[in-house]
Amino acid sequence: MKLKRTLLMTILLLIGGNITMKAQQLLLDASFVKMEIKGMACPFCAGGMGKSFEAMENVQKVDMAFDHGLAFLTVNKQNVPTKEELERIVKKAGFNVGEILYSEEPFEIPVRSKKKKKKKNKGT
Amino acid sequence: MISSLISLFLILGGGMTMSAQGPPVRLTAPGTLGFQGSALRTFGSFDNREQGSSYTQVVAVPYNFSTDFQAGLIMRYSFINPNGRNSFNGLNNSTLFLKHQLVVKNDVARTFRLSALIRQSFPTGKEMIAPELYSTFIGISAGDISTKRGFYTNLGYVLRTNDFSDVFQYDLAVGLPLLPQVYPLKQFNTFLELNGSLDLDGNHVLSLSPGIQFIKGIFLIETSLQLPLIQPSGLNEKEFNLILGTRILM
Repeated sequence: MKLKRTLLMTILLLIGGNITMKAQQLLLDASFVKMEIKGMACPFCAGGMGKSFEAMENVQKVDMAFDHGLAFLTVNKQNVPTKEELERIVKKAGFNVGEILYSEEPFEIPVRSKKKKKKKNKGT
Repeated sequence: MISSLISLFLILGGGMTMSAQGPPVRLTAPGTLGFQGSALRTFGSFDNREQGSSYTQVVAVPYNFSTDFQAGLIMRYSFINPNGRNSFNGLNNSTLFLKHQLVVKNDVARTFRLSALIRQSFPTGKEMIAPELYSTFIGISAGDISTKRGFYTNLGYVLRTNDFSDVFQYDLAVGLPLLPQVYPLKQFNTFLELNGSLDLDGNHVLSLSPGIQFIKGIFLIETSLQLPLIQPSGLNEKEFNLILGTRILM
């Protein structure tokens, strides 16, 4: 019984460790893009654009902060999409692109207004 | 009744955190979903009138030729249940539509869109199911949409053949979101719509249509109850209309 438990714990630790390592490796291989997008007022209407970002081979993850008009992409470090590629997708979706920033560190995604209020209340 | 509905809508809308909303339920949205985006739409429409009821299944397939230009086809199949008579069913009239975005003003979390609309209906419907007529809708769809609310309008004139009088149509809608926005999408939106028409014989029809909409990922589910406020008496008066449908981003 004890042997079984130890074996199970070892397997779980190995799997857990492997997942953590893979996640760390993905982060090491990743670059980050922050885009200002004007006109994103209806997220369902921005669905085509989100789908196009996700369909790009070099994009790992897409996130959007609609209230701030921002899109965040996690992309492969070895194959970072160019500004022109990104602008083309946004324009085809019917929106306008503002500033596009690249970074080796993840960008801070703005918190939603409800959470902001809660944090403010805690502080006071 | 109407004031209660408006109050309920305002209470629901005002009491919750507001974020971005989706397309209106009964109006044509002014946007086109962009060149990459397309959505298949289908809904069931249950109509209850003085002289019977009917159910119509509607399928709309749009295609984006460019960022600003969309065309599509609307097909309908109806089941008619007249009071005290046998029910029957069959294909209803079909419609081809064109939408062209004329004005796009984008800002942070806000957009204004104005599109020209043409809808051409053809008498593909079975006898008894649909009137044998060609109708052409020429009009506009406009929307001032922000992440906090959306205001929409459709205005147009319908030219009709076979001694059917022409109709002026007007629709107004306000949409309020009830959930904070997230990506992938998860939204719960409410809409209050006014749908009106006035024909050249002076028949005025005005309805109030409160609706709700749930969006999860690429799926949208919506329902809207239409209640008549003004309608000519003695012309098979409408009691209510209920639509329940879905849209899928493709």
